[in-house]
Amino acid sequence: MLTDFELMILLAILRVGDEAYGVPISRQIEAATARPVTRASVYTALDRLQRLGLVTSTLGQPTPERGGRAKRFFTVTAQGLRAVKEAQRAFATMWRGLPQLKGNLS
Amino acid sequence: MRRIADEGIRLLDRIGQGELAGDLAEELHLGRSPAWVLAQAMAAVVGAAATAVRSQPYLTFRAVATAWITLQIVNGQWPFAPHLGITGWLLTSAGGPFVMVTQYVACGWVVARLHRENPVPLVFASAGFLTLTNAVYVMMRTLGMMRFRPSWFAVDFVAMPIVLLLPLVTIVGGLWGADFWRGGPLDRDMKVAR
Repeated sequence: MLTDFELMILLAILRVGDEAYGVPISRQIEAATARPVTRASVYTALDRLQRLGLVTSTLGQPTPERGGRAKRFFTVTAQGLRAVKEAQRAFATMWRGLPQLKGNLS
Repeated sequence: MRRIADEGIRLLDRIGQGELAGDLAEELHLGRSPAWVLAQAMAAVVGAAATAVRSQPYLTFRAVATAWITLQIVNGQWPFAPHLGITGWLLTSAGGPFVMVTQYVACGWVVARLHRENPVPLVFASAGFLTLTNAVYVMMRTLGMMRFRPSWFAVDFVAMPIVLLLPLVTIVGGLWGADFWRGGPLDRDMKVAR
């Protein structure tokens, strides 16, 4: 079972695409939630997702602005995509038919 | 502040979180404040220490016990010093604060030297434990002062925060013991990568 934060990370990776590494993933989540994201928690979640086989990663080239450190790029696996769709279905089911949630947010 | 942030990033390299270190270096390069970067690095190190405590309870216990025993020895509590009265003389002398700082630095150094495989998280865990024991001491002393010596409370009000912050220098000793400023194998790898 995915946590909300892990689901956010999977969605952020899908949104960013091929250039999905720590910085753009964190910024996507910050932009969507308007809350600060602790960078270490992103990597903790990514490690767990990788252990579960929901994402894979590859090491890029070292760059000078990173002090010679390489970027680690993340990709959602087919299993990860299935997990996202399942979560989407579950949320949609829970959302459907609730009179309190009808109308605009504003 | 920028230099301290760089040191925080380097600390992440030393605990095997090179990707996160790279991300923070990039954020710093993109204009994030050094204070923000340092806070992120410290959160990561504290998180790594918490993970070490959970995943290696025996090793953590050994590190914490090492720190505590070292503190007792250098504090002159054990095994002979109480009889010689050295402790009281040293701590009430003009060099008392320096002696106290040195004691905590020594604790961190010994922990790092005896736990070469994973020194940084264990040093942080030890510093956390010493802070906790000092907090208990401060709490009990404050309660005692309020009850029996209210007039001394003002002096303690100044001194006790220092007692609480003192274990933080254990981290300095630990980093020294882990050859953080000398450059370990990871630092050499980073230079090759650059």
